Amino acid sequence: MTIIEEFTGIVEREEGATPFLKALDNGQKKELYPALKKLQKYYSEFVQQGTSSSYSSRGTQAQNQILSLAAFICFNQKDFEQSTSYGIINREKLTPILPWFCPDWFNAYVDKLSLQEYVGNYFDYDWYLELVEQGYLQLNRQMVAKILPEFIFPRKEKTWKFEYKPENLLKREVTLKDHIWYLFEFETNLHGAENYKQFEDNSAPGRWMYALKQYTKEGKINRERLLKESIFSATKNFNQSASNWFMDLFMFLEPTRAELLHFQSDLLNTFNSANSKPYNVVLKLFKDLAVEPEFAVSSFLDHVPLVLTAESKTAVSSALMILDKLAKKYPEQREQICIISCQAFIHQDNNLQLRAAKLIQKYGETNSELIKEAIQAYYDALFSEARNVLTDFSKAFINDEPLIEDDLSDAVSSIAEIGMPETFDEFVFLASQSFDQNETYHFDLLPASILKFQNEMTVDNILKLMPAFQRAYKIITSDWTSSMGYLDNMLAKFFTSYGQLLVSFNPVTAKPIQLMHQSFVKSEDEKKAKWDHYKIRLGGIKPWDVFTHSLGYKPHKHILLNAFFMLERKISLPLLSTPTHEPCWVSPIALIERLSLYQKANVIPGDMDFQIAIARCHPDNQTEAIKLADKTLKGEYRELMGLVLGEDRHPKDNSKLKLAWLVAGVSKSSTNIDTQLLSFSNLSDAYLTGDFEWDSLIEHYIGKQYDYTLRKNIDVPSKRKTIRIDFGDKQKKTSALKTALNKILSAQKENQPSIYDYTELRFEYISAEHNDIKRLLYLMPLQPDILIAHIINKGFRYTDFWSENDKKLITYTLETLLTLDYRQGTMSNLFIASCMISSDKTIRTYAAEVWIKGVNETRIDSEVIGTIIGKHEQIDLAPLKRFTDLVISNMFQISKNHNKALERLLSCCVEQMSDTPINGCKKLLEIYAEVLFVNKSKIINKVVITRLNTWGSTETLKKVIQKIKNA
Amino acid sequence: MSDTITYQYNKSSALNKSDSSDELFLAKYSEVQKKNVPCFFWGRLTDPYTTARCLLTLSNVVQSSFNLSPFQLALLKDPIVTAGNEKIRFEGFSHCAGVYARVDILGEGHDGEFLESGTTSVDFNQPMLSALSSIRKNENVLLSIGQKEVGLHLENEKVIERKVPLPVKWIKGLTSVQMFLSESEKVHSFNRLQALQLFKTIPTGKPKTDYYLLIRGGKPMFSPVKSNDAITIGGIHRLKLIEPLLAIADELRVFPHTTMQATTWQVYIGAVRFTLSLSRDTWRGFSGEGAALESLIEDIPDQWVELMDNYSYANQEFNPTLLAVNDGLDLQKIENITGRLSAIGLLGYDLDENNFFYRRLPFKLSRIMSLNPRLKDAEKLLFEGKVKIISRQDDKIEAQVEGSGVKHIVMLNGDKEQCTCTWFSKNQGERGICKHILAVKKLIIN
Repeated sequence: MTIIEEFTGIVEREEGATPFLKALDNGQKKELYPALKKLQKYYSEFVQQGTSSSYSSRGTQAQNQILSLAAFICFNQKDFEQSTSYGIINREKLTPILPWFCPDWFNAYVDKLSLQEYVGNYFDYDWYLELVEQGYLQLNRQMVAKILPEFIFPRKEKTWKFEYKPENLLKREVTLKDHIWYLFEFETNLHGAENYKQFEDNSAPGRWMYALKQYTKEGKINRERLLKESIFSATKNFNQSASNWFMDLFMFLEPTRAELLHFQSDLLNTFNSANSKPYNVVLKLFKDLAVEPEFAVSSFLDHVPLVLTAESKTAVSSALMILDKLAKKYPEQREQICIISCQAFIHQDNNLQLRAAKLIQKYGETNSELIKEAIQAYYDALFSEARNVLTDFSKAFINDEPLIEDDLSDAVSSIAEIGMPETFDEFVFLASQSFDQNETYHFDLLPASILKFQNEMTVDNILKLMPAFQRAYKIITSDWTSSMGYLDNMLAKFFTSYGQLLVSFNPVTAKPIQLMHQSFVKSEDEKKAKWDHYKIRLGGIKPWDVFTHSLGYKPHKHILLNAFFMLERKISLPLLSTPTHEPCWVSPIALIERLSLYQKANVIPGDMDFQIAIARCHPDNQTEAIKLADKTLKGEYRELMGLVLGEDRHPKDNSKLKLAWLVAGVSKSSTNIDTQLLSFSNLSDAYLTGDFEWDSLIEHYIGKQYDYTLRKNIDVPSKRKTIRIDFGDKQKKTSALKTALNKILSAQKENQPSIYDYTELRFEYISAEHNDIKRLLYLMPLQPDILIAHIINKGFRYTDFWSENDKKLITYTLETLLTLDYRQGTMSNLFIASCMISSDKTIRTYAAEVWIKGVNETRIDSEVIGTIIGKHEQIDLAPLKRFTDLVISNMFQISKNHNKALERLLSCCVEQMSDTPINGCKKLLEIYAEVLFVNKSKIINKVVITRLNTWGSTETLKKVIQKIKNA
Repeated sequence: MSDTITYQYNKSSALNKSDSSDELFLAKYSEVQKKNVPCFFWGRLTDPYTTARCLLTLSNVVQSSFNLSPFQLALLKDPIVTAGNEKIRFEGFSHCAGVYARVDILGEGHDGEFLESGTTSVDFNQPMLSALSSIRKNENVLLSIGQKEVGLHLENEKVIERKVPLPVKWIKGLTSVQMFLSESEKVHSFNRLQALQLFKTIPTGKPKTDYYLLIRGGKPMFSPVKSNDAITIGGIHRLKLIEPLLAIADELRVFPHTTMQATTWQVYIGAVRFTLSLSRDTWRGFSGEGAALESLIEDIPDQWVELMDNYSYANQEFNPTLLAVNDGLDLQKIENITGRLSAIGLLGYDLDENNFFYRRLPFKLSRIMSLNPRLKDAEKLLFEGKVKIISRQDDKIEAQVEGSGVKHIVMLNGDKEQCTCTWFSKNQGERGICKHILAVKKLIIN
């Protein structure tokens, strides 16, 4: 029997392997090596257990242990690491082995382990040190630091609960002498070692701190070093909880006044900390220490700018308080202190600015040029109250027109032309990137280019397209990636369908396509054979659908089917809806030219293609376009283009292009749609205008909650704040008489569904819709309100977002809106206003940008935006702070016009809010006061005055309301 | 991808405190230093507080990582320092190779002797860094890069060895970032207040979207909204690395890359300058951007390296004409000479002076040249005969390169390069050329 056979037998029979392994010489180990690898692979594979649906590894626990042991003895470090043998690093298992065998890589392996975040399942402190003492390992400081925190928490075998045994630290002298300090050197779990543990004794939390304090008291730990290391560790770039823990430890040790003074330069170090806690603690200590003669004033002044500009407001105000004390005590330092204090003006916070200003007013000499200079640098950023306090300093440089007007016009991107591929080679490079959504319009450009080059599909040219075909097949058959939308899949299927069409036209020329197709069919079949539940992903464009069966994807599919229809019949006409200008516009000139081609060929354009073309038609170059239309178009096409270009035209009763007329009417920049056009659709009016009813409300619902005593989910009445849109009936209500009449007059055709019937966003949980939303919005760029209603309905279901993808849905929508000049309707106003109080800062900033652009182009109604926010805040839908922060950082002082618009916005917001002030009202009013001050305005709105009077009874608001009234 | 470098220092770097003055001793180590150079610089720092703050910020950069797992953070990679021509420059990279930082101590910032010129790695250890943060203004601090008193060093003294897995991308980043710097132009200059205000608009957390630097109401701000003349910054939270310096800064200058593939932020504090360059996005290191790829299409003769070594000294402005006079090799005539030299780690770039300067990375050339996956892949394609030129007319070339399962079309037309592969289709050349284009270019050059 060979060694391999013998060993295989041992594993199979689950016999003790130690005698066998012990007897192996190096040559035999080498011989066993490859077989061991195979056995490990075989036994570790996950397989179905009998007929049950559970899976587990093929080997039993005993078998896997034999294999792990063999791996420890035979493998080199690399193979051992790659094998599944780590369970062997365990006191119980290795103790009998190590005396007769220790691999030469053992130490290097453990060193490497020490870099892992959690090493607790390999070693405990006791065993590790035994291994070191026995010479199997060399001491690794990082490993010690990682396992020491658990050492005082042994676990009881019977109860599996933990015990608190600080005395374990006394077992070895070296522990408190050396090892304890490694905890300050490396980032460990010391701060969280006692978390999530059930203790058998009644020891109180903070166990490590107690232990350290206790042994310091007993003189077993050097107190001075412990204090110093705690401060250092708090500023050492450790994670926030660890840093904070060390700061807590420092305070827990109750440093005396003398100690604090001794360590003051080290304490100043905390000002450089990335977390606010360490310096907040130190500032609190310094407030008290600052009066001591030993306080290092100049060092403090050197370091204090770091905290004056810090995020934490508490820190800034503590720092100012200390500066105040120092200024009082050291008159010779006053000028410098005043100059330093100016740095607090960086905060857009009235209270902090006021505090700093008062300090300067109190201690600064009004004739000090240096102080004046410092104030001047910050003056533009100052609120009116701080300015008032500093009047004596600012007289010299005061400026009436501080606001620099931006040239915002260039922020609007000029409309760039989209280049259609001119040569086949250009088409090749377009095709290979069309599924990457490098540009949203590539979706339209691909079918348009295929139509253009359909007669050039030679053998050579098809070869050039093969990378694109491969890409399309890969997109269809591979797993979903995070940037992919359903439209990318749709486009890829369209392209492979076209490949099959080419094969049917000419199997010889298109042979490479057929071969590629077959290879993907084969690999799909193989996957299906392997996994029962696998669904074949290949398929053509005709049966394409999204699993939600959302109608929203129909328009795009119709465009592709339209192109496919023409390709099948070898019709060489362009699609009407292909954008000519970024991001999605079709120029009227191009549309007229395309229409005239259809007219000449006597072909009726595809319904959806025509509707989208009109919806995308950017009404510029009107005179030129009308001239061209007069010259090239006849009959109904000419009439229809007239309406698109702003002429007063109407369809005839027997119109063949009713849906196109409907879209032309709806896209016009007015909400009043001709009733004749409305009759071309069965949809109720709101579904055409997007003018839906909405409400922000507190919704009651039954939620699920886990009951620990009953051990099951129970129904709990809950409530949530949400925005609801009332979509109402989709179809128009028709009277019984009319229905009867329609039946009688059956000759009269029913209205066909238009693009508006297909506008929806359907999903329970968002999957890839956010990656399509831009392209969906670009179907109706002049009137996006209908789709926006659906976006609000889905995206704001949970005001603080359900997932990252929900956020993306909103961000991409905002991004799209910024590229369009659309009609701002009820839904887009609701959308922008709701975004302004969103939990995501990026979304808020975007919304502010849309507002800035809208005010600039006088397209947005700030009053409506303010009213909506006010209504939302009636029920405290979202923290008002989000909005006030946004105003300060992004909407205030943009230009005079914007300040005026902001005033209207804020006034309507206050007007709409409830009589009981909510959190954040004070800040809102402070900003309002500031805006009124800058605009030199007074409140005239009576409702606002009444509201302020009501709010005035609230103590915290009294002062600011008085200020507004006095403005 | 990862390689281990063993730093061998005679002594640890340390801030040695004494009553009269402190000494910041930096231990050095270079893999390629030929002569035994004991000390590069020895002298007084005129503004030790600022220098200390900048070095700490640099250490934060080299300790940071924006896309690696946290445990790798523990492995501090030592910065390199170049001393010479009256300047001391410290350079370092974040682990992810997406953030580059440099501290330049200019003429006024030091008062001492440059005993030798050269580039070396210097030991940055936690105790030394902790000590650095205790340096206050108006202190007297001596800086010594290497040991001045050789005698103090005993023969049998234990050498401090630190093994660090040094990903090749770290070194590659150091070479390719210089090219990004040379293609950047100053667009904004802000005073301390503006800089602080600007940084207040950095959103909290780690935003996944790009941010744009624009001016609103006369104030600079970051916004997620793109506008025409705004500067694009991906992974904006990385900028917070220099936030601690702003409170003491005189000026902040912003240099975007011409096609927004990187941004460079320079903080000026007296005679010390801190440079921070951010790659296009957190997940994109400078190393993988392929900026240096084109410079490596042709091999670099050893003769050049020698020539540069013989006639240049550290921090000296790179001047190809001068070299020609000395050695008869006219580098000026060689196309893209600066790109090719910086790609092998011989040149750095100074944005203020607008020139390349000589500094030879203290790593073996084999490390620098090894692993350039795309270049290797291109070479493999050529070796296997998978590249075929279909047509060539003037500067218009069409080629066919075999990929997996398909033949890709590569089209070179003047400056325009295109390929049908996925990499190119996705990035459209933004992140350097693909291996197919690279192979075609290599074929036509050789």
